[in-house]
Amino acid sequence: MTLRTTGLIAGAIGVILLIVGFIANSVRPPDSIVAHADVDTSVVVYQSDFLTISPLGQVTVEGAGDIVAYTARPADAEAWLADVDYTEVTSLPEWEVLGTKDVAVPSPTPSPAPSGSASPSASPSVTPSPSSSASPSASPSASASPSASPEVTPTEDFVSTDGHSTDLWRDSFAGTGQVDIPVQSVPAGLTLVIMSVDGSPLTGTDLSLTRVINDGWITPLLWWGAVLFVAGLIALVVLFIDLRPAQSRGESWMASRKNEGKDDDEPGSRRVRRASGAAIPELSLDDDPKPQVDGAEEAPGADDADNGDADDESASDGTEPRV
Amino acid sequence: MNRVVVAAASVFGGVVLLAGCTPAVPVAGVASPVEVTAAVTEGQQERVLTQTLAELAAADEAKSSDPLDVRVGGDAKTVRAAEYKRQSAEDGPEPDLLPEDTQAVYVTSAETWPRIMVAVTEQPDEETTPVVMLWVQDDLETPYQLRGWAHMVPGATLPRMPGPSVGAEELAMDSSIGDTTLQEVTDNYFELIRSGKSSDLNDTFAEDSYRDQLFTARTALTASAKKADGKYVDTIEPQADGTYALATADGGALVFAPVHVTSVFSVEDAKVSVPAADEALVDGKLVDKVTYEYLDFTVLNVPPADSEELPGVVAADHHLVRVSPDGEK
Repeated sequence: MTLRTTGLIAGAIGVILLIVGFIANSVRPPDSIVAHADVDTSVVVYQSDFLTISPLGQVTVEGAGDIVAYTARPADAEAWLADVDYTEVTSLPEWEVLGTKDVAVPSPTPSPAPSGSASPSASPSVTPSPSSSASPSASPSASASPSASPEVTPTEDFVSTDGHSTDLWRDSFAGTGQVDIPVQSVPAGLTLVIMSVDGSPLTGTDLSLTRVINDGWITPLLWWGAVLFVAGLIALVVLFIDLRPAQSRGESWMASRKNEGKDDDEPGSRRVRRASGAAIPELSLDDDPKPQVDGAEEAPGADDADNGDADDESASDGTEPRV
Repeated sequence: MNRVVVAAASVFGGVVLLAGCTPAVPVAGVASPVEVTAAVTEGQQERVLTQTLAELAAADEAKSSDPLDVRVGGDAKTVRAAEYKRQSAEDGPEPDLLPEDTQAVYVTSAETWPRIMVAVTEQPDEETTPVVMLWVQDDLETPYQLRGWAHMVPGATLPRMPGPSVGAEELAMDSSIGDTTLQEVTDNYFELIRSGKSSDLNDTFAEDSYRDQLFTARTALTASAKKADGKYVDTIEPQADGTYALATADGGALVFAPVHVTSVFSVEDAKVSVPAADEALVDGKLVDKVTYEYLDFTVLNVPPADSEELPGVVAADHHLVRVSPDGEK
């Protein structure tokens, strides 16, 4: 397989990767989404457990007029909700759909007003001193308990609905036409109750969500596809260009380079010696030994060492066994 | 043909890959428990306090109880109205000063109603002890209302209470501490008030200036009535409906008990008169009999069973609300 063929295959693979990458990129779902539900009651409720679905999200409720949202202890919210029709957001069946549950008051009879009269208990009012007067027992107190629902003065942050007390609520949010409540601003464990101030039905509620999509492979896929595509493109271009003249010139030049160095070796050089195979010096064993001089006699083969063969240099130290 | 196959395979591959990369729809978990389990948070306390003091300020300015309609009610409104009447008299006494600053606020952890909230203020001035104020929320739909206040008895100390984020348990009056119920302790104290200092019950309660003043006044008025061949009779009627109790941190209880006190002073062949400051409260024509009506507010400390401390009143006020010939209206 030639380099050009390999490049063409790489280009084809690159095209496939690019197509897959671009399609994946185009149909990639958004990581920030908003789940929605239509409502038609004047009160919408989010329980604290449900809000754990989107701890960094935001609750939005739309309506026609002024809207207030409060937080309360679950038990307190439950007591308050016992007398109203409301919509509770309970689930997330799909990414963009909120599941709701409409809860109606079983019997729409108004809660009985507590007795306003503080009838003191008939305590045995024993008067220690002898008294001829009748025992002044248990005359009703002039101060009666307050009526059941005194009108509540709205405060800056807490707007009374239906004249009821707002002491139940811990945190408040308000808006006109829409109210946005970051989930993080709802203290853990508290129930979120959103209602229209005038009692008109709310129209819808949203919960923003963040989903983590494993799409980190798309960008590298596109890059790899691009690289392979370019390689294939180059191979394709080369396919249509006649390179034989240039190739011929190149081959000739290479051949000439090979021949150029053949006659240039100097006599006695290593290359020549390696080529002639005379690298090992020959020693004559039957020559007369040279008169020995203490320590200064030149060792046999020193001449060879002078010829530049580094392998024989160790023989010149004078410690060689003498022949 | 090959191009079509490649394109189809690419689309299919992309969709399959993305389907595998899209996470499943999350499901709800379990939320963390509520951090502040008390019935009211500090923010709610502040709202109640601020609005109460605002109403009182408006009423003080108007010298009328008419502005007291949301945050002040019950006995507190009646008492305040009487104070404004007395204030209107020449050299009449000023209404009780209820300081804005609080030393402590006690709240309930109850999830049912009625609920109460108690504040202990700073000293209004050097000569006046701190004030214990009681708010009651009767039901879900009504606001917390100031129902009573009383100055602390000199030398008294309030017990340690659970923290404001937890809240104190609201106790029923039939709750037992040791061998006795809170109702028995309260009944015994008011029986002591009726019986006087010589009662055997006197040694079962800690000393307090409230009953000392009542006994002293009773002795003096009884002597005065006798001089005129008359009588002096106190009638003590605890108001059970308005009595509440909070558990203390050490296992005891604080009982907030309003009481209706009626004092009848009569003479023979003479005409009674009342001090100038009280004349503003006179309802009717006084001849030989006068009835003073008080809406008192008391706070009893019931120590835990293993304590050697005696139960006793730690705060109490004797609030005159009406003066009449017959005590009936």
